[in-house]
Amino acid sequence: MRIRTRMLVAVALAAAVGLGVLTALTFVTQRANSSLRAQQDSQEIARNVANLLTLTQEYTVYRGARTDGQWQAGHRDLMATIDSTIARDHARHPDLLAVRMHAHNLLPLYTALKDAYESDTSSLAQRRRELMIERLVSGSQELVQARYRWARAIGAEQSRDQAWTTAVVLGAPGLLLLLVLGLAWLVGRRVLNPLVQLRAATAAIQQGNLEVRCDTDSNDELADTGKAVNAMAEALLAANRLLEAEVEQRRGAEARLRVVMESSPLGMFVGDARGYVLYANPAWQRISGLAAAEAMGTGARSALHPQDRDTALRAWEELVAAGTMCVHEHRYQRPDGAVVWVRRHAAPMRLEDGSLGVVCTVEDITERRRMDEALAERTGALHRSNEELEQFAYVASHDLLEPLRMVSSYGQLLERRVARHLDSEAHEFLGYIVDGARRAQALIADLLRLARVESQALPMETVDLAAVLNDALQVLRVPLEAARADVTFSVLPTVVGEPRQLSQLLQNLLGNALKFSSAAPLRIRIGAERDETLGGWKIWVQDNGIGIDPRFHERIFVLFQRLHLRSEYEGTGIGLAICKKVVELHGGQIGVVSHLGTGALFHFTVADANRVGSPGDALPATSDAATLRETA
Amino acid sequence: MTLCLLLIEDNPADARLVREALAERSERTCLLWVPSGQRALDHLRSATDPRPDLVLLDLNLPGLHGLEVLSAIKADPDLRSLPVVVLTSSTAPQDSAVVYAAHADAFVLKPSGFADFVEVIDKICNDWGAKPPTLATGNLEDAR
Repeated sequence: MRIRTRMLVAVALAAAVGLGVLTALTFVTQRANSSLRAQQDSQEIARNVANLLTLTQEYTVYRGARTDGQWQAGHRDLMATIDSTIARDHARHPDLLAVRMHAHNLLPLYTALKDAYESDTSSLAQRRRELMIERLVSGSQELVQARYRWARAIGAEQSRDQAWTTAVVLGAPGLLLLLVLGLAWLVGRRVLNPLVQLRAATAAIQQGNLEVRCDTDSNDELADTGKAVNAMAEALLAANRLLEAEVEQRRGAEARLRVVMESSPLGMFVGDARGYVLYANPAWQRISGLAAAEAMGTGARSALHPQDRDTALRAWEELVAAGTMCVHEHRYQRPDGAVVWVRRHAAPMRLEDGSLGVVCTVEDITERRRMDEALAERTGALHRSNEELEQFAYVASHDLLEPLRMVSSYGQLLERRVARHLDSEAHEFLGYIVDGARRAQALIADLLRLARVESQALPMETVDLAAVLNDALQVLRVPLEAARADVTFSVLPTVVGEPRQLSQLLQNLLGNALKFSSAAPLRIRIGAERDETLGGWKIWVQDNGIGIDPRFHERIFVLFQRLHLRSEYEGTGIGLAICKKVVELHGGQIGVVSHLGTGALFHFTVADANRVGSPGDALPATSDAATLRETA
Repeated sequence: MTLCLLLIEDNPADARLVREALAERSERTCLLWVPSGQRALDHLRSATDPRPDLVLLDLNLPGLHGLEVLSAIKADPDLRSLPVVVLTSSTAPQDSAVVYAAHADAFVLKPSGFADFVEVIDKICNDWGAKPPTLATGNLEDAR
């Protein structure tokens, strides 16, 4: 039941009790009043009867008219009194009715007496009169007795009423007291207790005990409040659980991150914007030789090599200012004096308090640097050695060529001047001398060219292959014309390469075609074919010469390898080796398609000028040049 | 008129080859040979010695290098008009550029083989001899 209802009920109850008490009091008072009136009536009746008796005596003595009148009036009063009493007496008391009857009977008795007195004055009559008086008196006595009984009854009624009044007067406050006590008990039980419980529950919730719950058995407002508190606690609990789960998850992630950092072979540390170190992992401690406690704050700075400290700290400041990732290489000096090269990747991050921080991974690159330095040193040494070698080759070839030039020149001079004095054998010997010297010169010149191809660093550039071919044809113009060679070429592309070496390459291939021509008129065709899979060009030079046995296709590119007698075909055996070297330096490959008597098709790959990428990228060669032959 | 050549060459065998090559020519030619650059410059600058019509200069010379001799000749106002043909056995490709940059009149590689040598020397004498057509105007003005 709702408290409002309960209060209404309590008020109604109190009102009802009050009303009852009031009614009872009124009723009792009324009863008392009517009893009092009845008593007064009873006394009036008694007085009237006594008066009538007195008047009767008076009449018997004096028989005066005035007395008679008084008696008549007195009797009327008596009757009026009795009638009014009866009218008031709702109970119609039998004694009261008896009183009225006796009172009523008095008048005929009196009238008879009066008649007796007026009509008969004999002794007998006297006696009768006396008897009549007796009867009147006895009637009066009976009346009085009846009145007495009635009065007694009234008295009893009165005392009963008094007892009621007392009971009501005394009982009503008691009842009210009981009512108040009952209400108080009810309030205490149904309102105060739940309120206290609610207060205790909220206090417990305040102190963090979210498991506490209020009773919600009753169906009142307090139960509603209790339910609300319970729901609040439930919601708090759910929120708490969520928070706890999140915290747990974060803790887990943090722990995992920590494990990652602790076990990482890379040094890691976290610093704030000023460069104060907040955390350093074991790998960093290993690299720097500093314990974690030593690294905290500005401690880590002592790890920096004194000569690198300023640049490293400046790089940090720049990173903080720019807010971007940066890489810096510098040295650490361990407490034991050992110097370590490190590469520091620094990236900005938000610290827990929201301020800017930096997370760094530190890699020990001492070994790599040492290797790099060693490599650079070796490369430098190699370069120097190459340069020295080239210088040596140049000087050696020059100094070798000089005496050979003398041998051949003076050999020829001798032949010219004293020929007629020499016999045929001396001629032959002189011929060998001159020829040997010439061959040695050719060998040295070719070797020198090969050495140049190998040692020269290639400044690659965009080269118009048509111009290069033109240049090569110019160089070979005289022998080509002498051989009446028919040279045709298709549109040639622009490629990436070194023009002089490419010219040398084409010269050698054209020279080869010239040298190994057959009886048929020499025909040379030069063409280019785009190879999308290579991303470059395939260039080919085809002749209709003597051709090459496929068995020797590998050998012809090897230094000093010759397939023919020197007397048949001249040559040092270096020309195609130079070709191979040039093509390889251009990242391409060279090959030949040929059979004996079918001519030869030399082809090589070279990078396209329009192709993005290093010209040094290797271009795989295809040995299948059948398609080339068809297009040729 | 006899063509007069000044040969600056440290190698006597080479000098002899030039002499023999000149001997093969039909026209008479006089050859003055000095083995070092310094002596060549001394000769050219002396008032008494006869002035050659053409200088044949080797590059690899002991003491004063051929290029230095060339620069000295081309820096001298009196000698500047004298044709200088660099005759060398150098095979370094950059040498010709350096030589022409130093205002040499020609750069000629010494051929191997006597026949070629005769041909080259003859061609030099014909091209850069006493009356080279390309230089005629300049020489006439200088003479005046």
